[in-house]
Amino acid sequence: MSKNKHSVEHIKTQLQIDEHMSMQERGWKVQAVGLYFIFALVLTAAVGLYGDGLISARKITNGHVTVEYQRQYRFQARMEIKVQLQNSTDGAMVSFPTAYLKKFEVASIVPQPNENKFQDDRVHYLFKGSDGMSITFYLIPQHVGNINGSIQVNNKEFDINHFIFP
Amino acid sequence: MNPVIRGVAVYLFVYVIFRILGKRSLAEVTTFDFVLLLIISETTTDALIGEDYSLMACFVMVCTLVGIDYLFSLLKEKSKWFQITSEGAPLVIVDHGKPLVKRMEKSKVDEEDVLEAARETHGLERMDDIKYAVLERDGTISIIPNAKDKR
Repeated sequence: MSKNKHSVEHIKTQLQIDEHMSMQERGWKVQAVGLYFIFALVLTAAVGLYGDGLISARKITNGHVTVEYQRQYRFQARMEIKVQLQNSTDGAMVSFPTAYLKKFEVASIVPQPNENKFQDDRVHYLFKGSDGMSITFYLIPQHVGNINGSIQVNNKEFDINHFIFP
Repeated sequence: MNPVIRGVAVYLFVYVIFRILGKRSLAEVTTFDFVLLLIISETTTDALIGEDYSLMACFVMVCTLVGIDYLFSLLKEKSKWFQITSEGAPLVIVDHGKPLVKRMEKSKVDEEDVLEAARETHGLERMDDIKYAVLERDGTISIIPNAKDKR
């Protein structure tokens, strides 16, 4: 009946069915690989390969300013960019390149900027406040793939790169 | 993203996932499986329509899903290879009362499943009463009783 204890049983029956054993065996192998694929997808998602996790979280500090963002994220999902300022007495001016903002929908900004303006191909947001300011931009990606840009916070440059999954 | 591309992508992904899980994944749905299916359908709905609640998007999505399903059934009719690849083929799992253990293991079927099918369809009491048990393409188990037990 069977060739050895590891191979599946090969039998002859009176039934009028075609089992296509070679394809069945190939199918079982593909299923096994597929299960690894499912678990790999879950594990990589758990560590943040597609956003919201260790792998995707980025933090850049330049002087008293810290910018936190997600390196990888997902299409049309709400993403945060956090700007934190310490020892800032004159408030904050945060600006984004227009080309960068065109690839997002700005869902909300917390706190609301006191003023915003368009100048030198950039959108500038002005916030009044003092020490320990924390500003969060909620952006919704409208494009898939790489999105790069440089944020300026009080004239300090922060290069940020995202990869947006479909 | 274009709704047709969304529809095709989600259809293919769900198709592949359930093919990977095997024939038995939906053959017997427990209460929890049912709840899980509802959650999956809810999740895929969001990915399918996004924030587009227009009637047109709904029409396009329904036609895309029905269309690709029809296309798949046509392909299955035309190509034996595609049919077996996408649906599998029937597999004998009990031969003259003897469970074919390796085949059952690979197909994620156990003796209890076979005995349950035997009880339900023919009122059989023991494995010895089964001539053949066949795991069909849709994941159900067909039982052919031994001649003396046929009724």
